[in-house]
Amino acid sequence: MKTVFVIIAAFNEEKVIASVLHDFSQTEYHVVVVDDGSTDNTAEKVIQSGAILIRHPINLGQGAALQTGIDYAIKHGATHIVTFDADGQHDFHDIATMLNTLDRDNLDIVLGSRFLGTTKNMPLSRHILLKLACWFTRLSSGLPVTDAHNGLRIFKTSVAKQLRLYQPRMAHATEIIYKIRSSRLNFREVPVTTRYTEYSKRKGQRSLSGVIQIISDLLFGGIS
Amino acid sequence: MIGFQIFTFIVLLMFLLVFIRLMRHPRHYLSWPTSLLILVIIGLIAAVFVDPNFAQTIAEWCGIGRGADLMIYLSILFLLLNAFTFLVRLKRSDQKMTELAREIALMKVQEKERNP
Repeated sequence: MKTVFVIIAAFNEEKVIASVLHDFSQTEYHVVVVDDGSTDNTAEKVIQSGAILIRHPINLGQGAALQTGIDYAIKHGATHIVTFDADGQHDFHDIATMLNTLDRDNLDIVLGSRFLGTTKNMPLSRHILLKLACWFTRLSSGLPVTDAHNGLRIFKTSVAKQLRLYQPRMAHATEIIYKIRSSRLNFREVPVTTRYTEYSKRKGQRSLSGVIQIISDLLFGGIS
Repeated sequence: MIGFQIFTFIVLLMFLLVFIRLMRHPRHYLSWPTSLLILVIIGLIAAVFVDPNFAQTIAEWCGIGRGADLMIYLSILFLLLNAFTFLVRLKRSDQKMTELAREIALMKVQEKERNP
């Protein structure tokens, strides 16, 4: 008996969040949107769509927003937790495939990989940046990942505690991979479709400054 | 040079007096050895400013060319340690803020779910 919660961290996504949520109306998943201190009408759009809305009083970052959603999901009896991007890059059909793989092969966590799957209109600069990030993550974690920064993941609630995110911003993606390693979780990467639209390209990682922030977060984030 | 020395000596004397006064305060929590250490450090700094040769002597003893160099090295070490301590405190503070914001967000949702 699966209770699947889909966590979407959103910051100023009023333009696309409605259509992203609309896709989920045909599914049985519990959709939780964490509004990370948006200054636009994201929250209203979420309420209109009928999905569960959690609002951060201040902007904390994607990692923190996801963790808040995860905490909520666990409290409400989730057996499986999905992280999903708010900008329309992901295809919700992939969730079902990933869930099947997760349960059939008795895995702890399944990660989506755009490089194993198909990408539509990925800008070259993004491609190069991601490949580099991947190479670095492979080297430092020792895990053979092909996509270190994919927001589409599914994991069982039983391992949620081991995967708890302490990186509040974008470095949480790398944090998860390190934790998969240190907790020795059974993981697999699964091909997923990633759509790049004009909207998501503009919104995407402001490449260089984003990378610097992530590296700095990883270096100093562990200190506390 | 003499003017500067007098100036710093007075400043350090003030620090010393303030510190001694703080030690007498009932909420003073520094242990006895730590307080003594701080006094000694203030004394050493005072000595360095009052007698330039003092730093020179220690420097030679450490194998460093000049007294001034020694002071610079020590200052750098001190500043680095300080910066690092602050970084740790900042990170810890950020972490607490995240947890607070999360708590608030989840409380509000709980509220909405109880009273639709």
